[in-house]
Amino acid sequence: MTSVSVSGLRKTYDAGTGPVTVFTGLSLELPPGESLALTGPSGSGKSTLMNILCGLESIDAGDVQVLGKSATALSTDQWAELRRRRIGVVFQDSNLMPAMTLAENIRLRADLAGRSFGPVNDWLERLGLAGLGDRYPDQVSGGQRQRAALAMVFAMGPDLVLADEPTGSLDRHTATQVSDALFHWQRQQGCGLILASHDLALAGRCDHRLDLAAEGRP
Amino acid sequence: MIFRAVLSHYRRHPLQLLALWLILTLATALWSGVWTLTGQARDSMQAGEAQLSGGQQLAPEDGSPVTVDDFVSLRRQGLCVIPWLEVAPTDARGRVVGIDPLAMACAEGDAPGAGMALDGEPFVDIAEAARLAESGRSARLRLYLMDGEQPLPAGWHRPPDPSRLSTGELADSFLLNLDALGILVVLVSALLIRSVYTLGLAQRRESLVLLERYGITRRRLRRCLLAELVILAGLGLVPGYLLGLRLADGLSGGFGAAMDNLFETTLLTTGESTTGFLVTLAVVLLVVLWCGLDLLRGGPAQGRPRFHPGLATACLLVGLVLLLVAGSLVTVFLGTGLMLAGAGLLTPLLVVRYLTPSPWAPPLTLWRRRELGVLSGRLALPMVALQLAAGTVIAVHALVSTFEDTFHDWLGQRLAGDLFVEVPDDRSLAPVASLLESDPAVAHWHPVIRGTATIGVGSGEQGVDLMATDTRSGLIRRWSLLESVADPWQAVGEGQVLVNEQLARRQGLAPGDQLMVGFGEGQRSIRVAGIYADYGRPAGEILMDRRYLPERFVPDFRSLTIALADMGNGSGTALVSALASAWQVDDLSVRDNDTIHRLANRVFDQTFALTRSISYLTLVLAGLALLMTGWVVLRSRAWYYHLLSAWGLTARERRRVVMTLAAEFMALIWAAALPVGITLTWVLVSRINPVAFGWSLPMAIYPGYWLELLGLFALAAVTVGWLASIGHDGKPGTMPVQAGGQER
Amino acid sequence: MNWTALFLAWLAGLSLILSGCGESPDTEGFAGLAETPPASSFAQPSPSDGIELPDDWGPHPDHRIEWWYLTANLRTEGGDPLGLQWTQFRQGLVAPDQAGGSPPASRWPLQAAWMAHGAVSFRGQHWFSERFARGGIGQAGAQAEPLRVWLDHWQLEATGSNQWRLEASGDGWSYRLTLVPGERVIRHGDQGFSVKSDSGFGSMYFSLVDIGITGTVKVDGTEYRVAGTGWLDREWSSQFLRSDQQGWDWFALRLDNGGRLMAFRVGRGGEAFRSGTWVAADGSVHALSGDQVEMVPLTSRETDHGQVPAAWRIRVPAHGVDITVRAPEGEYWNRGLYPYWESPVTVTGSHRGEGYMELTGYARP
Repeated sequence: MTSVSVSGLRKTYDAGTGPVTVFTGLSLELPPGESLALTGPSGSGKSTLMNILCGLESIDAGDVQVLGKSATALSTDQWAELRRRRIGVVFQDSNLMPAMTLAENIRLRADLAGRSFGPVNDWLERLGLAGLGDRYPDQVSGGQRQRAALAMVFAMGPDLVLADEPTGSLDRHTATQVSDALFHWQRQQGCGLILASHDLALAGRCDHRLDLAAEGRP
Repeated sequence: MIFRAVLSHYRRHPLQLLALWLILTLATALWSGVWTLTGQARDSMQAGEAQLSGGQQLAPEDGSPVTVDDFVSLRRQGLCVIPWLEVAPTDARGRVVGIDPLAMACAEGDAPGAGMALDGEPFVDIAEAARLAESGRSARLRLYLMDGEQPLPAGWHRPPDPSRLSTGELADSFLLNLDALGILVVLVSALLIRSVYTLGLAQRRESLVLLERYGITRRRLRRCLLAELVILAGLGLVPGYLLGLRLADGLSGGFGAAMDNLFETTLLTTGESTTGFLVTLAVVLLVVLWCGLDLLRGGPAQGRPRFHPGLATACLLVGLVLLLVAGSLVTVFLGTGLMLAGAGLLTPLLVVRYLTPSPWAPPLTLWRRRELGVLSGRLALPMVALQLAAGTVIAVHALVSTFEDTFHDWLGQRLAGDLFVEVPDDRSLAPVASLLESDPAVAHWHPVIRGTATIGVGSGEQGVDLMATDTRSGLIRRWSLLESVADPWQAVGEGQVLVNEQLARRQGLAPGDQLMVGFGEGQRSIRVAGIYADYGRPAGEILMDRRYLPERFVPDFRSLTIALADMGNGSGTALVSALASAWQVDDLSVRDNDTIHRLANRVFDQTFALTRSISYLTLVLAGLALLMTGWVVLRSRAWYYHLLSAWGLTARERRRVVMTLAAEFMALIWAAALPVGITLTWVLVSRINPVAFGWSLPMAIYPGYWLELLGLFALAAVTVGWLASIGHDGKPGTMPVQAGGQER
Repeated sequence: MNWTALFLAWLAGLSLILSGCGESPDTEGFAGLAETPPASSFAQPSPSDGIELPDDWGPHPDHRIEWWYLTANLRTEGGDPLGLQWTQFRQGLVAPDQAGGSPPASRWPLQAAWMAHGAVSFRGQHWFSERFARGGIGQAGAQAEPLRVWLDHWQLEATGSNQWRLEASGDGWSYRLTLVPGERVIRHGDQGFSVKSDSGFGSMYFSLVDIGITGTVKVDGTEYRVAGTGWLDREWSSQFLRSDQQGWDWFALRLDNGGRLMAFRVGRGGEAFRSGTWVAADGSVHALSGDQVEMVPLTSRETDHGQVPAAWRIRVPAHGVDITVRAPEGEYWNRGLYPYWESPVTVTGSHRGEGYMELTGYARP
């Protein structure tokens, strides 16, 4: 069974000025425990595909299987359940609730996933955030915030991680630290990872790579 | 050019511009509406008062009858006096009133309500009436002064007409409270405008910073922003002012019609008054200045709201002390202002500090509480405004309800019985007493004898009004007493007296005290059996049983109060005829209590309705401002609500969470408004009145009304929550654009 | 002077306000408006009546109507022209032979009704007030010796030999004046009998044309010290305007060379009845017949109450008078029960001077 398998995906959306076609028959496959990099310039559909893969956007045609479930067969509530317990999502920024401390954020995410939140401090330590649990997001650096976001995701024990430009707003040094942590814990937990990035170096660290600019476009 | 750049923000956010303009316009409408409505409520109160008390009559101070020469002499002094010759009815012809149309010409074009339409029966030319009077019918000449503003000539006064009703001080007190309300409304709406404005400004911070980087000096930028605000206020002023007038018109339209029907006069004229417009303009200017103050001082306040716990506590304490020791209205108002300021400063602080949940609360609850903290911080100003507005509404409701109840009770006491018959001069009560006792149509009756007495104060004496009656009467015994000894009516029946509240407060009298009362022939020491409320006038009064009046007491006025067993079948008219023939007079002066009661109720009910509508308008404005600001703030949190979706909350769950959040926020404001409302009620009812008039109204609170208000708040919460949670289902929100984007 | 149309108006108004009462006090008074001459026993004036002073300053209860009518052209200390008017009318409602003596005041008798008008014209603005009273109770009245004419607190009163005081006030205006009436009395027409229509009806009419006036006038809260000259008409009759006579134009002018001109026109167009009096600089008095006086409206002024001929050309060729009479800017309507025009005027042409103009019958209904 694959983590994610997509075939013949077609997606058009209304951009206000008329329909914009993003995908005209995209196919991809991600075996469990492996990582896939989505590359391509802005507007090539990276974020759209990520949204589709976590059920936040619908598709026009094709077949999308996520963690063994057919995207079209799932209701929105079932999608929500899937995201809640099995899919971890990391955005470029603003992954944390600003009014809660780092520890509270991790606890909230773990709680939603139905995990015990006992090891919150362990996760902070594992991601190099020891002693920062009582800080609020605006009291730590951008790199620390992204590592906290990773702690949240891995604390829930996901089967699939979707990371949309997770280092996009960080400097190179910090970005390396964050991506190191990402790949380390992905491998440790054996979950699938789809990573959207225009950073080819980062993409190169994944097991597979798909260039959306070249793939499945009209 | 810069101006265009400054305004470019609104090209992207036209709704914000619309919201700011809307709040300016609506606030202006509220001010002009309140100005007009308070004016109308005042007019209606005064007109009603004048109608009820009939204060236009002019009579010689020495009590001598009015003559034609008096009329001529007053006219020669330049007073617009009109004669009124009332001729008693006979079997052949009804009551006739002689008037002089030539003399009445000077009253035309006077204040509304002054002119009279006296057409046809019973009005005839005064010469015709005089002829009837000479033919043997009894007649009485009265003079009415048509210009109430003129000083009275020496030797003349407006006689207190005991057959009429004076609401004097009760009305004054109500009007004073109405003024206080008007000031509160202005304050609250100013807070609202400022909150909407500063919120909008905060959102434009980035683009303003950008312009500054392009080399535009901060001073120029501020000038542009100020100009923008002034223009916007100007654009809102005229439509707002007109809207306010229309609003006031609409609210009072029914009232005007009712008054027309009642008095055949138009008492209310709503119109564009220059004063009203200037007042509105001045308020708008002041508020713009207040908003612009920040700009002139150096940009909008940045960062988190600052709390001033020390200042807040100081305000509250000093305000409370001032209220408690206040000896003048200014002090009361100052104390109230400080209390309100303290409450406004303290509330956001309390919310943020003491609603912090335990870190071990369920994580979603924790999240909601933390968001609540954010909202309370960001919406501190509109929140306080709504709190004060709701507090005002609660206080006004309590005030109006209290006044209403007091009015009704008091009217009920004073207008007890169905008929009120003046006892003709030089006639004794004896011939009618047996008649009244034996007539089956009479259920209860008692005489009322009014005069003056003196009371011993220190070593001297002081005049007070005296009311003597038959205290065994069931009608009198219905009077409710503020304080009394056990079985007070029994005590009064045995010779003790009751005193009114004014006298009791002034002399520090309590039930059981001894009072020296003089009736012109030496003093008697009498025990005070109780204290009754008496709102009509400032004078002190004592009430006693008439059996204990000295033999030679000379009353100023005597009357009979009669309750009929059955009002229906003309028994009243028959009884009055019987009384007239028993006294051997042609005509009796009779007051129909029921008519006056209904008249009074209609007049005052309308006044109260107007007052309530003012407070509701304020609440609507505050609610609207909170909706707008709340919506903007919740929109700015949209990304985080989207994050909840990404974390696996279903759309329904997310909506529920956001709505609960909004509901908690509203409930918080509601709860914070309660102490403000109660305090304001207490100030209005128990502090302002004793200071201004020497008597207090009973303080009452109306929890049922609080619940109604809570319902209203719940509705607002549902609306805000719904607005904030729609439009994001399935669609991701935009990430916050601020660098870091993690502002708490 | 200035009569008939005004009285028509007043009576119309009076009947209006009296109609509020159940009964009219005297229907015959109103019947006098009919086309036929009244059959009442009010006395008719005639040249043989003559004018007896000071008695004729007092009331004439035998006659139906009479008035005391003062107009004045004054100046403030600053030199601004200021015009003012005070008029008191009496209207007999019961003929003397039917009155049966004077009933006591306690009966509120209505044998006569009184009306007073007061006006001030200043800087293009015009203030006017109107008062009414019934006679017989003392609220209004007149006496010859010493002279006193009053209604409410408005009063003209002799305060010394050859000195009167006049006081009146209304909405936004008041005045308090000292008058020096002078010795010269002008008797109009034939020994004071002034004909008012071709059929020979007329009134008794005399004037004081050079009254010295000083005092204070207050308008809109500002008090001005004023001085100038006034013209007082005293007139009584029992006759109303004939129903086919429309309108009334009257002029009282003081010319710089000492000449004085009173001219009036009753009715409009070719049928109009004209008359007047010329007082030459040497003091000689000349009654003017209709063909000796020419009065032509020159310009028309649009006002709130209609078109008003605000400028006139008046010619009296026999005495070398050819003048233009002009009202200052503004509207000078006396907006009482029946509006009429009463304005100060300036005179240019063969003579210069000033005076007053009264126009009735121009108000738009």
